[in-house]
This record gives sequence, C-alpha cells and structure tokens, in this order.
Amino acid sequence: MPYRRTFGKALGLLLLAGRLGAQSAAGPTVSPTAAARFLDQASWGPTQATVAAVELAGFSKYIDTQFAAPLSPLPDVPPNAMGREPMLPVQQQFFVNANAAGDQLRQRVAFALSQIWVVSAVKLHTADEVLPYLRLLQKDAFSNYYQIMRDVTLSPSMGHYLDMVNNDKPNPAAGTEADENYARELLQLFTIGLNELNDDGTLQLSNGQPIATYDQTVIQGFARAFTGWTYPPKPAATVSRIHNPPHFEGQMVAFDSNHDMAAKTVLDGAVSGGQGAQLDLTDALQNIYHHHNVAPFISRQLIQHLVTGNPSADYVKRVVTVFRSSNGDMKSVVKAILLDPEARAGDTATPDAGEGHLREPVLFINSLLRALNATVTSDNTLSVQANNMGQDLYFSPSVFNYFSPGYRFTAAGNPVPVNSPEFQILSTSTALLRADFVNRIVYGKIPGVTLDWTPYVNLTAAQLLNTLNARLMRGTMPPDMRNSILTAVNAQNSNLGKAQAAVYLIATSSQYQVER
Amino acid sequence: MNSITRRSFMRVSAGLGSLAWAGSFSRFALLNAVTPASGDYRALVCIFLFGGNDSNNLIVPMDTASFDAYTNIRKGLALPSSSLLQVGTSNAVYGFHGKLPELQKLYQANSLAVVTNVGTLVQPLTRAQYIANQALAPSNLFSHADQQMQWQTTVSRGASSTGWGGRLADAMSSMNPSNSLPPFISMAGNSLLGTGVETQPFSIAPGAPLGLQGFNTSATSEARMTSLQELLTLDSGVTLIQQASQTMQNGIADDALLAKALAGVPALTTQFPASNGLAAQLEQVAKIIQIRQTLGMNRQIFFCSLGGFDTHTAQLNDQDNLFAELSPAMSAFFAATQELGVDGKVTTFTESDFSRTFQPNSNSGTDHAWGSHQLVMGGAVKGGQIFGSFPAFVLGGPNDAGANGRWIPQFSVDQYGATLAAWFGALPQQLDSVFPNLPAFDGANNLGFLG
Repeated sequence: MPYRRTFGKALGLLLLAGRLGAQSAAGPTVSPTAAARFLDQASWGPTQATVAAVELAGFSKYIDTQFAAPLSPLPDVPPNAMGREPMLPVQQQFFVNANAAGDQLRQRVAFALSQIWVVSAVKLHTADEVLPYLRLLQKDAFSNYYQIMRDVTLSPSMGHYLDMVNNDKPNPAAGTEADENYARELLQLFTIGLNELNDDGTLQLSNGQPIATYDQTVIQGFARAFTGWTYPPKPAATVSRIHNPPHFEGQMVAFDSNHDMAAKTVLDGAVSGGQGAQLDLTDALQNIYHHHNVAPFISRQLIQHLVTGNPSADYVKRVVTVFRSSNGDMKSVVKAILLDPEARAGDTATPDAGEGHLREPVLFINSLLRALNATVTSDNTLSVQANNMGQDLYFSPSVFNYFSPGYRFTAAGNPVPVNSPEFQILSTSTALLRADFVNRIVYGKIPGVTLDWTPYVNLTAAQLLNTLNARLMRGTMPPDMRNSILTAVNAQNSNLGKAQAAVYLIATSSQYQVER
Repeated sequence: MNSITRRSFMRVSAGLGSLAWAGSFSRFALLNAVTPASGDYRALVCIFLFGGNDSNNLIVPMDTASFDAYTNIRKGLALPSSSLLQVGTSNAVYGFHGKLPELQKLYQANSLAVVTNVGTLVQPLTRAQYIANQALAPSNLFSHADQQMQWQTTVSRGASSTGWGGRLADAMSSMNPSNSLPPFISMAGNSLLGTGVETQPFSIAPGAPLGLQGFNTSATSEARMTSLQELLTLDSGVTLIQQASQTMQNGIADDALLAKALAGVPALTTQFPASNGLAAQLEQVAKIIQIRQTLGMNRQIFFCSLGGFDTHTAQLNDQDNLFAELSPAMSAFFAATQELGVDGKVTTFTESDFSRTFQPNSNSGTDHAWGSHQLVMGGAVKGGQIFGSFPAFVLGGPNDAGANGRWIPQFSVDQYGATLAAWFGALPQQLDSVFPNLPAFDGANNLGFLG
C-alpha cells in the first residue's frame, strides 16, 4: 500500500517540519520533503522510490550513485518506408527514459547541455543525424567542460548544424570568406558570452557600460581557424576528400589543404597561424577555454537549468570557485550546484520570493507523470504535447534554444525585471495549452501514457488532498489553495471525479507549475 | 497612473467574490456597452523575418553600374537578371527576387513600397565614425538575439523591458475601450515589441482552440472552474507564481472575449495559401480585424513571424523557399483587407534581425550583417516607390562597416517605427516617448512612405 506510506509522511511532515530539518543536519538522513525538493532539481521529478533512496543515502551519496548509474538507452531508429530515420522515436525514447530510467541526474545535465550547445532537427532532420549528438552529451555530461567543448566542436551533427563542416578556407578568386556561424555561436552561446563577467556572473563595467568580450575581427579569426573540416568518411568509403558526403558517426576529419594557414587574431589579441587544422583547432579551443568568462557564464546557466532562474551572485561565485579548482570537472560542478546552501535552503524554510523557475514543458510533463506514477511506453505522443506548450523537443527554433538564459519579464507593479528564462515561452496561449495538457492526462487519453487512479479513489476528500499535496507539492500547498480545491472536490459526483478534479486543479495551478 | 492596469484591476475585482465562473468574464456584459467604432480604425501588422533576411537579394538595383558590382561581388549568390522581377521606370529599374511575383504586382499597383538600408542605430553614423569609435554604434551588433531585441525596443545600447509597439499602444490607449482585448496581439508567441508599461501582449496560436478545454455547464465542471479561477487570484507573494497566474488569467479572459466576438462571423472569401505558416497567422489577423467593431477596437497592432533566414549555407535554395512562403501570404492578407474594406487602414511592415554580408562565405551562404531593406504594404502606403538609396556596392566602401559588405544603416529603426507610429495616430510629443532615441536623428522623424 505505497500511498499509505506517503500519506503518513504527508501528515508527518506537517507535524515535524522543524525537527526534520534539524535531523538532516545531524546525520545522513534527509526528510522526505527535502528529498523530494532535491529531486525536483536533480531528476525529472521525485517518485516515491527516489524519495526513499535520497532519504536513505543523503544528498551527496545519492549524487555519487547517480554519477555511476548506467546510461539510459538511446537506440538507433529503424528507417521508414522512405529510407529515412524519423525523429519521433527519439522523442518517444526521451520521455520513456525520463519517466523510468535510472540515470536521472545524467539525463537532466545532458538535457541542460543540449539547451546550451543547441543543435536542432529543424536543420538536421533525421534521427541518424541527431542521435550521435545526444549520445555524446549523455556520455560527456559528467566529464569535463573542455572535453565537451572539444567533442561538440568535432561532432558532425554540430558541424552540420552550424556549418563548420565543409567550411572552406577563404578563396580570394571566388571572393569568399570563411563561414562565421560556428565561430560566433561558440563564443556567444557556448563558452564566454558577449560581455566580460565577474566571477559571480555579474557584468564587468567600464564607465557604466558592459565590456564586449570580442569584436568582429576575432569572429573572423576563429572562423578561419575552424576551416578545413568535413564529415568523417563513411565506414565503407574508400577515399576521404575535403568534402565528404554527410555522415554523422565519429568525429569530423581535417584537410590542411582546405585550412587557412594565415595568421588569425583570437581572444585577448593572441595570434595563431602557420599551422594545420588540428593544431589550430586545439589552440583555438584552449584560447577560449582559458578565458575567465567560461566558468561564470556556464555555471550560471547550469544553475538556471537545474535549480533557479535568478541565482544570487554569491551562489554563482561559489560554483565558479569549484569550476576553477576542479578545472571544469562536471561532477564537481553539478555537485556544487545541487549541494549549495542556496539550493538547499528551501528544503527547510520557505524559499525566497524570487527563487525557482517555471517548469519548462518537458519538465512539467515528466515531473507530473512521475509524481502520479504513470507508465510511459515507446509509442507515446508526449512530444506533441510539449510542442503545443512551446517546446518542440529536439526541434529548437534556432541555436538560441527555446528560451534565453537572459530572459526577463517585468511584473505588474514592480519595475525591476525578473530573470526567469522559461517565462519566455509562457504566453497567454501556451499558459492555456499547459492546462489543456493536464486536461488530456486527467480526463482524456494520451497514447502511450497510462495513469492508475486506484490509489486515489478510496480516500476521503481530505486524505486525497493530503496525498496529492505530498506527491505533487511536497506538502507546500497553502491553506487557501487547499480550501478552494476541497470545495471543488466535494462538488464532484464520484470518487474518480474527485481525484481527477484534485489532480487537474493542482497541476494547472501556478503553485505547482513554478518549481521552488 | 498607478502600476495596476485597468485590465488587471478589473480582473481582481471580478475575481474571488463571484461564485459562478462566468464572473471572471464580466467583460462579456460590458461588450454591449461599447460604442461601435466610428470608422477611425488603424492597424499595424509586423512580420518579423527571424534569422536575418539577406535583403541584398530581396530587391536589386538593375542599373548597369550597380548590377555589375552586385554580380562581381556576390558571384555565386548573385541572382541572374533574367530571374529578377522588374519594377520601376527605365531610369531606375529594380528587380524583386524571382519568388516574389505577388509582391511585384503589389508594388506595381502602388500598394507596396521598399525602405532601403534600415537598421539599429544610436545616431546617424558614417564609416569613418564607426571605425574610429564603435561606442557610437549599437551594442552587440551581428548577434541575433540582441539585434532582434533592438529592432523591437529601439533601445540599441543597454536593456529595455518594453518594445516600441507596446509603448505606442500605451500612448494610444484612449482610442480603445478599456474593457476589450489588449491592443497588441501576437500570432507568434511572446513579443518584446508588444510589451509596454501597461500593454501586455495577448498571444494566439493559429489553429489552436480558444479557451480552456474540458469544461461544460455541469455543476461539477463549474465547481472546478470556480476553484481554478480562485487559485489564479491567490496572492502567493511569489513573483514567478503571480506572473504565471496573471498570464493565465489574461489568456482565459482574452480568449473568451475573442471567441464570443468571433462566433457566427462569416468566413472571409479571400483564400489564403495552404501549408503556409505565415499565411495562417495573417489569416488569423484578418479574422480579428473583421470583428474590430464588435470588439470596439480602433487601434490594433499585430505580430507575425517567419523564421529560417539565417542562411549561412545553401542560401539560394533556402531563401527561395522562404520568399515563396512570404510573398503569397502577404498578398492574400492584402486581398483580405480589401475584402474587409480596410486596406487603407491596415499597414503591414517587415522587420528582421539584420541583413547579411554582401560578400558570400565559403559555404554558399552569407554571414550576419546590419542595415537591411524592408517592405511596407497597405492602401495608405505610398507604394510603387523605393524610399532611401541603396548602399554603394563596394566592399570596404563608404557604406561598409568593415570589409565584407555589412551596410551601416542610413535610416534607424526609430525613424522607421516613428513613420509607422505617426500614421497610426501618435502625436509628435508622443513619438518622443515611444521612440526615446528619435531626437538623435535631427528631426528627420518621418521617412515619408505613408500618406
């Protein structure tokens, strides 16, 4: 009777909230509410099983276990009748893995990386072009940031997406310059950003103005440094040429004959030149990696994806310190993010008013389904739902992701804009479509998703509310919210109707949709 | 004015007290009290070409000197003269891209004009000034996100939380009833262009149903709706929760208002092209313009978009496909405004991140540049004309910011927007508040492309 256990916990947490906080400081045990809150950040949402595991292991040890968890499957997609490998099965596998696979933290970190180092099936089109890249991010999620920079730079998927592949050296006779696309976005989005940063992620200023990290000369310098690369030869290929046909397994290969050997200006006025494509690439990536912006630029974004859209400068600085001391070790950085006092403060006290983030559509889907112990199979159409809500999984509209880390909204009555990336895709339209997703889950049917209502239909209204409060909201439901839902629940005609109404109202509420 | 808008104040006052869920839609009742529009109607329709449209191939000057320079520099990306759709007179011939036949016709019918080399600026700028001091130019040139923002905010150095469309709607708010739809409606998601101090954009996804699904008039359903409405009005004291609730409240109320006004309205006879995302957005705009009198709206701004213009590779093919979507969609929309008798009251205009390098890159594409040509369409447009001059087609020449043909704009977004806003009805003193950087352009506030 697993729900009884949760129900007991829900009552317990109401009675013992203060004491549990003290207990968790004294020993390895973690309260169920703290465990659930931690799992909102470190997984696709708490389940009864993962809450129990965190309670038992404590945060740090649980993270270590997650580091060692076997990678969830990302199988090849069989070709369709037209000989193409469609993306739908990749999207379906994402939701299957998120729902039930054990490497939850790796999935969250890999997904965060995929939103920084964006490739999109808008341009790549098929599964065989995208899957090698997803496997790369999955494998590298707990590696080292420089490793990620290097592996992605040499990935044919990224090479195809941002045109480093077949980027020929400048040709005066043809009147062409090197393609700037990868060089620009590598600097602007993947590593250092537009403006010089302090170690706490805030802008450095000169006469009150931000200081640009690079100019057009530097973009053109890197564009030339990255010339000469093409797709890896296909396994059966007998020759490799400066323009190999598209192939997405393995790493791109270089031809010095197609590489610009001239001197190039890179960051901090450094100049490289007179060397081949391999050496230029290594020098270029080292030049970027050693820019002091990498640690704050990336640390802040990882915090935003995992914990809160608007982290304090001190929080960023603490993570940056670990980023530097560990030389970009992702395990250390992820651990620092999740164990930081600011991330954990809300476990035992009310989080600050500005803390947290709106659950982006795929997180909203996954966490709701996991909390309700739903089953997701590989024929699911959840990607349609995510798309309706503004997040077409693996089909980001551009390299700028579904939303920007810098997005700010200005709330009515408060002139200070609030940094909250996910709100960029919350419009009056998608707000209602989020509720429509809940409507389908609760009152309709989404193919490949099965919800078992039996744990909820033999409860009194008060028990129902307690159970759902514990499962979905970690017991944080405010009394006025509870009273309102209780009135609606009592007006329903059947036990199933009561359970459905309660889940619908909680899941559509902003109190649930904003994770804090 | 206090910080609570009239719209949100209404919502709060209509909220918790009422038991019936329709209580929150009290604007239904007020709708009948709105005086029908007197015919003083104006609408602006923005089509944002996301990714940075290479406007060097949108329209090409075909005088011998220009066309030779164009061909010599653009080489593989130069469109052959035989493919271009000619307009103009023998003294000044221009060629529209071959996939824009509908736009050629609109130009010839004096319903479409081109404004050349418009872009983000802090002040009028020469090449010498730019090379000597880049601080005189907008920040973060050539960056998609930043230039998209600056086109929408007109604030080209520093951040802005409002866009010029939202500020214009704020300035003109007395023209619209306070209890109707928001003046800015986006068919393409949240838009900074439409965010004002008071104005918050209302978004519609063309094709998606309006309103919340899964409710009916049964007692159980109404009880659930009552609670949903109550939850949205709870004061959590948490900024993110309040913002999410406000957004959903707005969506419920605005969708309801729109759905009621759209009910039973006859379909337009104008056929919009099928399988054309932009056309679907513009068709939705036309349907909303159709019910302007029911809604009592006298001033409206709409936002549509078409993406995919970031043509670093395979530009010729990609831009062919994009223009083949743009041209018939715009043309159908113009026909719809004619059908509705408002072609002189609706002005459609383009924006885009930036244009692209005149010099091609080594991937059969182009890279991020700056000033770009824009299209303006409508019965009030002084059509069949080119406003402004083309940059000199010389790499490193007088209009080039560098050596690759990144044109320094001759007109600023402020001037372009102010011309649209003046036609929309903004008074001169209002223009300065909507476009705070306008005074930097020496009183040249109107580019003259609207009557």
